[in-house]
Amino acid sequence: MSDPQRLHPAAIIILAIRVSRQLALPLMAPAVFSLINQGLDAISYGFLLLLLGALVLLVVLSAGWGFLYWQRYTYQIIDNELILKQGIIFRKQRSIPRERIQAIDLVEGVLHRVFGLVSVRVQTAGGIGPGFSLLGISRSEADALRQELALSPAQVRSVAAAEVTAANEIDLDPDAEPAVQAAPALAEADPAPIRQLTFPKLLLAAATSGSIGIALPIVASGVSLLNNMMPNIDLFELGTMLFGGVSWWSIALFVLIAAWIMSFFGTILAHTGFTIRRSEDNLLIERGLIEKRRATVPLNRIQAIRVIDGVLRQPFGYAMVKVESAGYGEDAAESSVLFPMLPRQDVREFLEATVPEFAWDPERIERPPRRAIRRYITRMTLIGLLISAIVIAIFYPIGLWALATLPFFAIFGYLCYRDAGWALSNGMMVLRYRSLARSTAIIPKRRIQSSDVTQNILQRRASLGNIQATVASGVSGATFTVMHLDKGIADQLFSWTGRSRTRLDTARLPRQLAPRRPVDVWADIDAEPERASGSEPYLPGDSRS
Amino acid sequence: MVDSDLTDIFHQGSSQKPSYDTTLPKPRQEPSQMLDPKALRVWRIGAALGTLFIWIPAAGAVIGMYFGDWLWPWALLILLFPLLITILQVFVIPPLEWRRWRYEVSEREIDLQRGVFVMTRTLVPMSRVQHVDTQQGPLLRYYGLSAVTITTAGGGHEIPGLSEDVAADVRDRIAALAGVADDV
Repeated sequence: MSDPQRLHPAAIIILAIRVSRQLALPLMAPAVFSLINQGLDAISYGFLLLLLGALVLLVVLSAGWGFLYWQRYTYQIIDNELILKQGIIFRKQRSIPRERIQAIDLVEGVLHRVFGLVSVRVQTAGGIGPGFSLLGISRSEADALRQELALSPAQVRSVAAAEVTAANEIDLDPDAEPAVQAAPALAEADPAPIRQLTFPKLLLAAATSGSIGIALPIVASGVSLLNNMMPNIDLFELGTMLFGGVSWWSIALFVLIAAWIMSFFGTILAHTGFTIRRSEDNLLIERGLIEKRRATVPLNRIQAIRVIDGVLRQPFGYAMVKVESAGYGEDAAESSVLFPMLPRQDVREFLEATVPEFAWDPERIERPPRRAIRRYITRMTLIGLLISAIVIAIFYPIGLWALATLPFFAIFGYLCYRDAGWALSNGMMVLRYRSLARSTAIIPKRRIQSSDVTQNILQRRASLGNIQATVASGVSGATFTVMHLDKGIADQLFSWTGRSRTRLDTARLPRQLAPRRPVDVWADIDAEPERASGSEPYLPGDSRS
Repeated sequence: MVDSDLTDIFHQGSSQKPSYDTTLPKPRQEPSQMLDPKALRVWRIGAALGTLFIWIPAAGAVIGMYFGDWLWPWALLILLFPLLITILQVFVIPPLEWRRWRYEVSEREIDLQRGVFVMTRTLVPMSRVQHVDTQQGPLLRYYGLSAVTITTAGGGHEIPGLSEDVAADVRDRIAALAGVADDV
């Protein structure tokens, strides 16, 4: 199959129908508007002409677009790569290494069935990340493609798309994500629970839930909506009538309490009976008060672990454990909580029981240099100023009190500095940072999809830089950032995330920078036996001792 | 510990030397390859087209003022703003951006460097690459350029302006290397 192949000609019709759906509304709009405005009187000779014109235009444009798209769209296999060419105005050529293709799904929509076609959905790298589709080829062509890609019949799944999803399936965007993936069947008998959330802990978790931050604006906007909806009833008067007096403070307190109650019950609903079990390769999570939910997290899909010390929980010594897991499915977002609340000192033990690969609690976190403190504090103070400015603009005279919160922002900035840091060990990277809650991300090097070191012009003056690591999470990615590290260190961490092995030349460094931690950063888990034995490190001049 | 941190808050030299940690790999060298010089022209044209979004409203405002209350200092001010933006966007930033842009495709990873105000280095392990695209819109095609897009499960990365031959070469090389590198 080294010649470029086109989709089946019938795909033109599928493509045209697809695009006509999108064109229909704008093209028909004038006719529909005049019908709405003038009722049946609108149906005149001119109106019919307009309608006919729009219809003709619709058909011509759709058919033309469908044909051009089909004409430009080719696929072929050259040298172990699947090559796709597409695009009418914006041309695109895509290469997918054969080794990256894990499976293909044959999807049959309603329209496909009419013409006896299938849509081929190509899954790359463990089913994570963007797949893409060949929009309509015959079954025999699909089979030829399978053989060419050297996939076994077992790697081909037939998916009979339901009629509704079929409509969305033939998407203009071939990169569109497949919507649902079947969850692995649960084992007959559940393994013993590793940890369960007891009722008192549930109450504490609900009381200290971070979702109060989400509930707060909802309640606040609800109150102001109420105020606007009933212009005849002044909330102040109502308050005076009921309680004998009302002030801004009491309204604020009311909003706060209402938000807290909302988040309290939200957590109770979601996390009652939270139980985590582990079978051979999966974590099984069960939770929910009214609606019992079960989620399955395949262990090999877990990209990173995040231990979150919530603002309200940290004082009690409790943390939440979350998981960044690749792949899609209905549970993708829901299954991200591995355990809602457990004592900080139990975290390591918990990780060992559930995700042993990630069971690492570094005894020492390297912090940003002291010259970064100022930047952390300035940043938070500026954020505080911005919020204050908004508050003052809305509630003018009384809002000036917002400025009194600035010292707290500054202190919070210092906390952000104190909690930021990194650690490395055995192919594992720990990045810790505080946004509101303190997060400790545990990231295996081999799971890093990309890493960045950034430096803005202000940081440049002080030789500081940020380090970022991105892992796959859900359908896209999750990025962890530690700000204002020493630029030299940030560059070295960046270098560490790479696969080339370059060691710092110790001879040229001052004495006080002698190694102080016996950390084997070389013991990374890139299982590359053929490389480890044979090939040289890539960059010239690098020596690996 | 807190006190010692705080005493040092305002001590900050602009000539701060970066420190190094001997237990870590040494910093990588700057990527070696630069973009095609024609990319600069394409960026400038793109930026110039982009400034129309400010020029048109500004011109509209001035024309409106001409027929209404003509206050020439205001008119000048209104026209000065898009002019400044145009100078920055079309004449100042693109050359800086172009000079900063570097890339390198090695056997094990792709190394990118870009950004004027925020300089960013990005490292993409070859084993994480899912597919590579070359893309060209009408403007790039006119100048015989092409952009290379690298997709991983964590998102996409772009090398914006390479000549068609180089882009095709980079794409094929990455695809071939990505197929070999495998530490999943």
